[in-house]
Amino acid sequence: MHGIRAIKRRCLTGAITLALAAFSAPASLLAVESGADINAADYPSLTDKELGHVRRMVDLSRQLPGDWSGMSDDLWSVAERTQQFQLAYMAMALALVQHQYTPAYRELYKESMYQLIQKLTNPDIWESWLNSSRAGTAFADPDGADVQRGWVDPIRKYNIMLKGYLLQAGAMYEMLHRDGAFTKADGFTFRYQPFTWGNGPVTFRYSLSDVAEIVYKEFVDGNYEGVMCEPNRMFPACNQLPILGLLTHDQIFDTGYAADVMPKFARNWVEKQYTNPVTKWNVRHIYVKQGIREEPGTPVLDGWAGSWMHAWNPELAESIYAGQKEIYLDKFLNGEYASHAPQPGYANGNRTLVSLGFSQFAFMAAEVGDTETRAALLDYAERNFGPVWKDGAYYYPRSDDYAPDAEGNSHGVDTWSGNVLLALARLDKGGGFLKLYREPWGEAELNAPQVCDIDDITTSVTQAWYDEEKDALIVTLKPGPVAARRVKFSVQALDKDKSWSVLKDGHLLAQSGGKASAQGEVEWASDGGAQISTDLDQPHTFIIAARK
Amino acid sequence: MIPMTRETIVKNWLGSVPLALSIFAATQVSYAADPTAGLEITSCKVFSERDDKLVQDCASVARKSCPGPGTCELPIGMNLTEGKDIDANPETWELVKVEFSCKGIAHLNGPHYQNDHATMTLACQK
Repeated sequence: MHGIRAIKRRCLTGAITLALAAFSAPASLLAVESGADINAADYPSLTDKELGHVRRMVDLSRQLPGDWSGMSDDLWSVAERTQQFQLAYMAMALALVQHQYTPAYRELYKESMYQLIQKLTNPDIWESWLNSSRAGTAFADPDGADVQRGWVDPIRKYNIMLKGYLLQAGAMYEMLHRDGAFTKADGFTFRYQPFTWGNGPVTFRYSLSDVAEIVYKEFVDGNYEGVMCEPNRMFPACNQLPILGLLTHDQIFDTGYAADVMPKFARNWVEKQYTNPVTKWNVRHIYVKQGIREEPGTPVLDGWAGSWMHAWNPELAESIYAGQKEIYLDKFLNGEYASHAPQPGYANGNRTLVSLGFSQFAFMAAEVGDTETRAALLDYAERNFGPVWKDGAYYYPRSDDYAPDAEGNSHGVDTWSGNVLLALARLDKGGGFLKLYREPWGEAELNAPQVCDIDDITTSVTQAWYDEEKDALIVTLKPGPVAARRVKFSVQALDKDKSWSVLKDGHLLAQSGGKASAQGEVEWASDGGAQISTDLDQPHTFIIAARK
Repeated sequence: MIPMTRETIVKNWLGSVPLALSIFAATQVSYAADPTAGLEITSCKVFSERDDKLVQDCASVARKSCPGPGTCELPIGMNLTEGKDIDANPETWELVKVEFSCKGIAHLNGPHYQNDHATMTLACQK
């Protein structure tokens, strides 16, 4: 009964009774059996590399608090470095996979997304805000007198490069999982507790909707020109993600924030020429008080902006992309871009930006649906960026080998690129995020049949899709990364008033309603759930289909 | 540079141990709250950053939220000023400073910005 207890714990809430019966399906039944006409190849599935990227992100989500192994960089010129962006992007990458590859397998994605978002509230991530909030004369306010007092609270004002990402990822988590983890009053809790300096311990608590309201108000107060990152500096790139966060918030709570912001911000983008119509570059940032635009643009910020803009304004994003592709693509592939890599110690730059430019652009190319460019860049990454497999995870480990080789290729990789940006370029087959934002889950998707209780150490789910029209759940499991002779998984939310067939690799395994496999591979629960046991020395595809 | 013998290195290393231990102990003390230490709020002020003459006493409100004697999270938002912005200017922020005592020993938390999303942790150390 251990397995049934597992079902109760993680999947089902109702009373469960076991209904086993000896039944071995005659081969003659297969031709007419429900599900036998379903071809699993017709449904989305993860390739080995795509799954490997997912495993890398899951592994990083499980690191202990304060452990940033494999996520560090030397982007000293940016106060917050890149970890907060890696975390938020990984949460969104997992959301993409959840939505478009394995919507009927959620526990792994839910747990990992939650952990990644939680890490955004870790002091290692947000405490740098106190420095950034102090502005200063050199890079924040040329007319300022000195650094300012600053403030600790990372949400209260500005800092869109943190709270915009919290909003985007937190709202997406809620849309996909609806457990209220971030909608409660202390969903995002920031504890300021250093013992060695400061004015004493203080804690800041915000709900997802608090953050949405603040972000929206800052868009309005700023005449829809963008929310500032640091005092006096507005980066157009960092304003894409909060818009998407507002959009999801609108979809869940019917608030209308994004509906107000999107057209006005888009109009400002064009009228204020955030994309320079002559050079095709986006402005890097704007000194708000002085109205000074910082140009030229960079592939880092251009890709950053375009990939996410495409999810809420594909027409504008695609029109910008065309010009930027002309600027960047050849230079990435022929090494010219890498040849300008700053030397170590260069005062106002970092070699990391070489890698980031490449991968941000690759992600943008993927999202706008330029499949040829996406393929060329991914091929380049495979040849030059030293990808590795480790315990089932696939990624491009950090390399500081930026100097172009004899063929002009750079082998430098930063961790944001290696952990998630290149993964996004591979996982996004074109308009992936556009689809995610245009097709939010509602009750039907949330309550659809799904698999759970899967030991992800021994079992890789490459396919988990419920076809509503055919009333069938299609699931493919692959062994590993750790081998196991037999594994189990549960199926939940099957309509208990229907009769269901379970097919394994095209062969009938069992039927609900008193019939089960002779080997006891399927156990039915009274509320419609099931537990399936299988060998896993090779991939297997299961189809759980309602009998007509 | 004076070459260090192994003996010197060991002696220096051992000499640093008490210092390290004392720092460690101090760190532990700061987070080991003593619920019996009789925490008592002695003063609470909300004041304007723009004009230091604009001050509101918030001791009675704070004492209601944190009557003692144990650790308390004191909300430091508009609850301290009856919902009012004491300088009537939403563009400027006010500051909160709280003094409290533990077994007669004075402690201070703040100033922190007045903030409806913030709580100040008041704790006595063991």
